[in-house]
Amino acid sequence: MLDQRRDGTRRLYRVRPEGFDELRRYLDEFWGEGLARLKSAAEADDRVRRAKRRGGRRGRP
Amino acid sequence: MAVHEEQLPVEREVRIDAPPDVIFKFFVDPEHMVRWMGVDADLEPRPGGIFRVNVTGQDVARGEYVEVSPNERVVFTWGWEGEGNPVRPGSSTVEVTLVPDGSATVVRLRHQGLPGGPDDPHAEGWDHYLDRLAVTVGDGDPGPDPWLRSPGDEST
Repeated sequence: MLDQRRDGTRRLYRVRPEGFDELRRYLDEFWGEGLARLKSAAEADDRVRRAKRRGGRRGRP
Repeated sequence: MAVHEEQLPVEREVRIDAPPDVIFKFFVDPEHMVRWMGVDADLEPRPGGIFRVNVTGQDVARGEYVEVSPNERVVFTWGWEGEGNPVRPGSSTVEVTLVPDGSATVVRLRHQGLPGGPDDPHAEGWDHYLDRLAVTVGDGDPGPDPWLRSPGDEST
């Protein structure tokens, strides 16, 4: 699917026309890793928010 | 225009232990965005507003918001800036849906409109595109965040 060569520390890929699957695979990984970080960040925010509510609920409905 | 089999979307789903309003901010607020994607972001979360994220410090994803439904759904177009790139700014579409699930939220992401199969005229640009992507991935070690390389990395 991919021709690969090295250039210093980089790996260069040349994609044959049928390589569109690689694009999708890359994006699948791209979004997968992104959403994993989103999960960590959002859950951290939610913990902070819940802790604040427990600590200072006074005056809230 | 015929829809080719090759143009199936990329779909991902993740369950997050937080309510939708907490998660929604991460798609519309630059400070929240860069905590999970990119080193800086320029976001105008309204239909037609800009969606621009400098993903690695070198590779910039750009598009426009198409739909912004608070705490429910965000749709934006997506592509990469730069010459010869087959996924041009605005050429593909990312839909994010937030579905409450008890005290958690299921986040569904669907990326569609990607370049098609071998007959797609964009195919010839893929070497350039994946070259850029390969740089962002570094040398194959995923690490905690392999994409981020801010200009200040050299300074200690």
